[in-house]
Amino acid sequence: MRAVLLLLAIPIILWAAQTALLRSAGLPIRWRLSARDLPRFLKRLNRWMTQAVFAGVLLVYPLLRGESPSAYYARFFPLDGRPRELLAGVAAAVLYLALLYLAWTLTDNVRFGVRHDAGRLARRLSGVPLTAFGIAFAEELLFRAVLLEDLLGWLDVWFAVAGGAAIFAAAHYVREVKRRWTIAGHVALGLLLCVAFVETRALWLPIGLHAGGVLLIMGARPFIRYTGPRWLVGESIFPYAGVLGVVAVCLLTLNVIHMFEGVP
Amino acid sequence: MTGMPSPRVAVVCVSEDGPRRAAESYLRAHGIDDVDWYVPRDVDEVDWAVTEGRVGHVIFAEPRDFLDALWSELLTDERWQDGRVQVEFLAPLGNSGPATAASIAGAWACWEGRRRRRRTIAGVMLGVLAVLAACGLVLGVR
Repeated sequence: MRAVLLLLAIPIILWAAQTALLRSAGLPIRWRLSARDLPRFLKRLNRWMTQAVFAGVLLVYPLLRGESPSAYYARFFPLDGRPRELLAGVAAAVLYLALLYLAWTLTDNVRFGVRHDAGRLARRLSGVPLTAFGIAFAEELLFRAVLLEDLLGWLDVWFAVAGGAAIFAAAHYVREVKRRWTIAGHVALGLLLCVAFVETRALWLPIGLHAGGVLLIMGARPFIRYTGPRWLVGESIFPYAGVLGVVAVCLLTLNVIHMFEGVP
Repeated sequence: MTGMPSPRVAVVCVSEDGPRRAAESYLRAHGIDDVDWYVPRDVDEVDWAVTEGRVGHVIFAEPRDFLDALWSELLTDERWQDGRVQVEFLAPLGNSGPATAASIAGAWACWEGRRRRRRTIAGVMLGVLAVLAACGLVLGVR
């Protein structure tokens, strides 16, 4: 329950910090968490604060349990061949997405082409691996090692998985977002990552799946224009939110159950 | 000495009675009595006849059928572009510049709508296959 309360505190702390920032800059208060139209330095400060709050939760949770953060998180990174699960996760996510992109490209629902000059393209692509693994690492620590692990302590496993997936999905909509219909994709993704964690009791596989997806989506983004209907191909950063994307994530979840059942 | 037979007239028209009768009365009024009839979905056969030199004059009952064929890349022979094929329309594309533009834009919207539907159906079918292939491959490497 501590993790849920900590996660619930995040938007409140972020809103308080956002309000303090807006006041100090002489700007009107916003009732939603939103960095839209803010000056660049405020956007950067806002981002740093978000990261600081996430880091704070990751540090505080193990301490509340009476454990050191390093000892707590180390248990989710077992060795003895287990790191291979990271590669398996990356490969599976990349395979699914690559085949979907191929199908959509062949049927002209997605168009591939170079959309930027070489310099800009190189800059965008060079940051993709680090960003993909950074996002996956941070979110998996927060939503699986903290939230789901806590839920598993007081809920039946499938209730914990459902709760973990729902909170993971909802967290992506706490801030003001351009679209809300993509939430089904986030719920499906949350289920996949929670199941991967439950089946392996480690973070290698969830991080691999998560990072593999982000890697391909961000890597393909400078080359892709979505021309098909949104219900089919999703959105540029949410291709898993379309009908086929959700089906793909559900099948990948079944793959994970089949492949990693009883692994730990 | 026998020369090449002179190119014939092709009429592209739907097979329903109304448009067909209107086309026949137009042909009678213009003294054209021996023509090859094609329905719009067989317009690629007209293109082939043009390529072989069998047809040199094509009458489209609806300008939209000509535009559809053009955008669908079915009129491939260069004779369509350099005027060696005489093209006629029974219905006018529009009586003024704006009306013609609106007519072309309307035809484009219809054509693009049909193309989008076909694209979506193909995307769903190939997408399902892709997802199943990915699932099978992941299962296979276990």
